[in-house]
Amino acid sequence: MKISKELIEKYHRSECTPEEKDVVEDWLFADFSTEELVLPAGASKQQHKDEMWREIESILPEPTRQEENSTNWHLSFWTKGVAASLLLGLIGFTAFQLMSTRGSSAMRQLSVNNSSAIDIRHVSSSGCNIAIAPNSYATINYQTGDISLSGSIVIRPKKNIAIVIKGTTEKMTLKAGETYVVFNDASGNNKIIVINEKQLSNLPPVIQKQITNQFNI
Amino acid sequence: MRYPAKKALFYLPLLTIAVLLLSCQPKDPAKKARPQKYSIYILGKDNHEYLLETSDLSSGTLYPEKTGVPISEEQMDRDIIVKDGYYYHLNYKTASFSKYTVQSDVLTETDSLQIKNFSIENFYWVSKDTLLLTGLNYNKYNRLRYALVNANTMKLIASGDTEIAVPSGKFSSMSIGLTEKRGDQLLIAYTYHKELSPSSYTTCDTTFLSTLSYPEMQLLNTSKELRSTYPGGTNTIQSYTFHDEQKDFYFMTCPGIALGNRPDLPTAIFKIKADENQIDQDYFFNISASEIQNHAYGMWYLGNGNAIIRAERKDLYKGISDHHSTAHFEFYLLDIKKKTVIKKLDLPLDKGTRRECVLVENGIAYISVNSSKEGNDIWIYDIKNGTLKKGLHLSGNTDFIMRIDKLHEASH
Repeated sequence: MKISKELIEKYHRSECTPEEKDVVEDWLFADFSTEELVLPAGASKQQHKDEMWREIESILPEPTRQEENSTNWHLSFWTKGVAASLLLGLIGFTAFQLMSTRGSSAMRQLSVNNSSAIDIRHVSSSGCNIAIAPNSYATINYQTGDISLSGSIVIRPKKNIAIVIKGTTEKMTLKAGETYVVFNDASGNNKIIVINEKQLSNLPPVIQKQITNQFNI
Repeated sequence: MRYPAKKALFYLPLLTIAVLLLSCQPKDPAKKARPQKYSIYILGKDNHEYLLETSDLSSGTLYPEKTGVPISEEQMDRDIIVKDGYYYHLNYKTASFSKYTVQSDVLTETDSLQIKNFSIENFYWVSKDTLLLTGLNYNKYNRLRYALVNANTMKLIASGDTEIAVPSGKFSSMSIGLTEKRGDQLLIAYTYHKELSPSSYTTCDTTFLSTLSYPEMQLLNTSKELRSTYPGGTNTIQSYTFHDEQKDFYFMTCPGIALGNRPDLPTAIFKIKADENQIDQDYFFNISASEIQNHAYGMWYLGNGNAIIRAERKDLYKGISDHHSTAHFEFYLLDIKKKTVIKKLDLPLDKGTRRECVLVENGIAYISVNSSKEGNDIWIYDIKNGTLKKGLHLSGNTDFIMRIDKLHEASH
């Protein structure tokens, strides 16, 4: 099931079936944002923080004054407005900081999962498009090249991804524009199998049928 | 001369057309010499695929990117049937069974027909133009179906389900390993699979052999063979059967991890006598227990009771993940009647899990080998004197020789 404008509207009208509700909530709460939020070139986060604090402090009444002269409150309507704006700004900045951290993390690592027992879930990030089989999850660490997987995924990188085959030192490049099937090796050695879609015919025919059927490829 | 300018104007277009026609001639004069004798299916290093047609496998070097014909993803994969200069392929998704040939250096579809809800497992040429396909229902793979095609007119003669038992209990899908016609009866061997996870499976311990009436396709009899499982394989990818000069029929079972995934059972060769429609209980050539001590996939008959099989080396690969990419396959020469291994052929280790890699013609076995060290070559094995030498070398973009075929049965 694909996320659509209609589905989201339906969700807000509380008209979704439990299955549709799960799909929308999975989508809403999925942690696969890879949008990197950056400051202008040369800008320092700390510098921005300090400046904002200074401005806030210059406007905020001192605690003692607040207690002693509560009558001043009604006089400083504009001051309070500016302070509120700055507080909002500070909250925004903190959120920005957090998002930046999460964005950087997402650039290093991509985690996807599909809790549905029936449907394939499709995820698109700035690095790749992924189809996740039912009851599967995967984590790709772009820096170390490690892939953790339970189940199976089909991945189509938008740029080359260098990976290391789990349990080995064997390196492999997932090339941009090519499609790869990644699944657990069931022969009990706790490894994963990564195979280009064009070489699927090298797999045992029964697994080929399982995978092509599952992902409709 | 009267009106010379007008004459020039008259002849100029003719001259232009002549120049254009001459410039459209193929660049390689050798490629004009149609029909070629052999076809080589190449998987390139960049994952592009090519068909190379040639009449000489014994020497020289070919570059698929220079003289090969590109195969588009939409056209076909390597699971093809090659006959009389044509390539047949079923796209199971579009249900289009297409007939291709190479025309003016382009792989061209000449005709097609629809075979719906069908995945080919085996093909058998009933006559020159009549092609019998046995397969399974696409998607579920649990019902044994057939399609009878006139390959000349590309018309579907008949199709339908057989009465062969669908999988039951813990078994959910099946594989067909051989299809052989004996008079007015058809022999079909198959087995059943149990799904362990969405990407793993195992196979039951039994080979089933059913006899059907032909062309009625009525089920007559089914017998069980417990000595090994996963009979044969998809013969559009690789050969697993042959019949000898006495019309005795032989097939190989493939329980190794690349096919049956029942490595506890032996790879073995079985026999169905010419005058019987059941597996000979007195014949059993256990390959795994022989000096080969490994599972094997693929078998080709050389004549006079000798056959070549392609055996894996379990000490060299790690699992399914590198079974196709590691060079670990060896070729063995067998005496089928004596049930002995004559020798291991002195060839480099080969890679590619399943390939149609042996072609036998006029006392020569052409063996294609994808070596990690020596590259991609077609080796020439002289069946009579047992000598082996390198023949055609495939260079350039070649990553794997996926199959070699005769384009015409009567190539001489």
